[in-house]
Amino acid sequence: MNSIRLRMIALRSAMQQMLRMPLSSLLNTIVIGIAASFPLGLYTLLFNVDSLLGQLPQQNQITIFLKTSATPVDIKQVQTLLRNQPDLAQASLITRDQALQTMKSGTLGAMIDALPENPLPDAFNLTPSTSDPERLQKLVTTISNWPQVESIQHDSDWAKRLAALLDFGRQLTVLLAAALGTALLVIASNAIRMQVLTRNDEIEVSKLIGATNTFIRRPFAYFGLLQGACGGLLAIGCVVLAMHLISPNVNQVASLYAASFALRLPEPLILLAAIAITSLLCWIGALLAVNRHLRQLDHQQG
Amino acid sequence: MIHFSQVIKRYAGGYEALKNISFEIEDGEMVLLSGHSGAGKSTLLNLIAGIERPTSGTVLVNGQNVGALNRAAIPYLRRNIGLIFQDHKLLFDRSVMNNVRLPLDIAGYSHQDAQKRARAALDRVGLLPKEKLNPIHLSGGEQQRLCIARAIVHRPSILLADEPTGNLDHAYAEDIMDLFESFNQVGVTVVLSTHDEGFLKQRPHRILRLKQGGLSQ
Repeated sequence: MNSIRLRMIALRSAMQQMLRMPLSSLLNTIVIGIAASFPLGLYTLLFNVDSLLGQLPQQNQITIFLKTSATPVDIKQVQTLLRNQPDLAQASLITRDQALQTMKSGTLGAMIDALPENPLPDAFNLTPSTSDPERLQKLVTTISNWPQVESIQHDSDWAKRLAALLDFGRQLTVLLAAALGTALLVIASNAIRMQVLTRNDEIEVSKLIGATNTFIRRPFAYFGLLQGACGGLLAIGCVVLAMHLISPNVNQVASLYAASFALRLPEPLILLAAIAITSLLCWIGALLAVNRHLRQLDHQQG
Repeated sequence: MIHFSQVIKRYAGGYEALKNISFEIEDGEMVLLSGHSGAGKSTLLNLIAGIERPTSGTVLVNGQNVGALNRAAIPYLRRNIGLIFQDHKLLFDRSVMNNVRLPLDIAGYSHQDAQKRARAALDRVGLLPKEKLNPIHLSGGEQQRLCIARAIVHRPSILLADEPTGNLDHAYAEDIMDLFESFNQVGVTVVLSTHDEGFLKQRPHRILRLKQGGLSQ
């Protein structure tokens, strides 16, 4: 009961402190919020790219194009060769005539009609039975060495590149979060240090009349927690605002590709974690500042 | 209650503020500590409250060896002591009432209980009508009494006052002395220092005379 009361007193004192210096509290909260919004914003970006990737067909598709000079005998040979590949589940032939018909029925029909001869090659759509990147690579190498094959296109290449880019982005987020987290710690510690100095009289008198270090520390620690939580909320606000500002552009791009895609905030758990981490860092910063001051006081008092 | 045995306090640089001091103050006694400024009066009071630690020798307060006390135990020692500072150490960012409440808030008293006790303490020193004022608006004598109210509000068994009559005119100083005597009469051990022994002579208390860090009884 007694300890709850002491905590309530500390909480009240922390809130009074916030109200006593509203401008500097606000400015510090803004700095904390903006610092925290960078890693959170980057995370949100990656989260959205990730979910966009999730909407794309994940199946591996390999397309091979034969040389335009390929004869029906060549096609038969390739078909036989393909049948002997253990890592292929399916291989379907699209002849140059079929491809031309498909194109004619599209918007380019008139243009195709004007061509003197069919420029399209015979092609195979291959579906591998494996998703192991090494075996896929081996398959692609084997096929591309066949003399009848002009080129081979492995559709997962760009996805792989994007995935690598995403991994890089994730590492960048972690680095950025670590760097800005440290900055946050310093900012919070400095902000609290200013307060500790302005309340030096109160701290000194309290200690002289029997306050424990815990009692003195508590309001500052709570202040740090509160300020961190406000900063975390502000960071989420910044990200929401940024999303609101860029989402018309995203919608435009998405509609060009006839895709429906809307930017989304990360899951609530992640947002809560962002607030918790910001609060935690500011709390630690506050404790560092007060402890430093208390050590100096203890030292002075012999 | 308070027991000094061969206490030496030497500061960095070699200055000896207290030179081999031994004395005893009984439970419920009222003792005056006299001497010129710089004689070591404040240092002696600081040693009792654990604000400073002796270089050598032992300081016992209520049977506890203050010099050897763990830092974490010091606050609890101080909660049994009322301190009246030469410079008052009042907080000007809060009302008279909240100044007096500070020791009770620290000890975790409930709001109602703290308010009641603080009013009683303010009433005792005659400042109850001014409970809502900021202490900056009080006269020097009133600030002194506020400091006394804060020192007695948690009913400590020991009162230590450093030059409580220092800057007050004679009549006011007599009032303050009467106040301390009334606390002493209800069993509180009182130790107060003064550089002006003249007007203390008519009072029947034991006097410890400090001279250049030594006792001359």
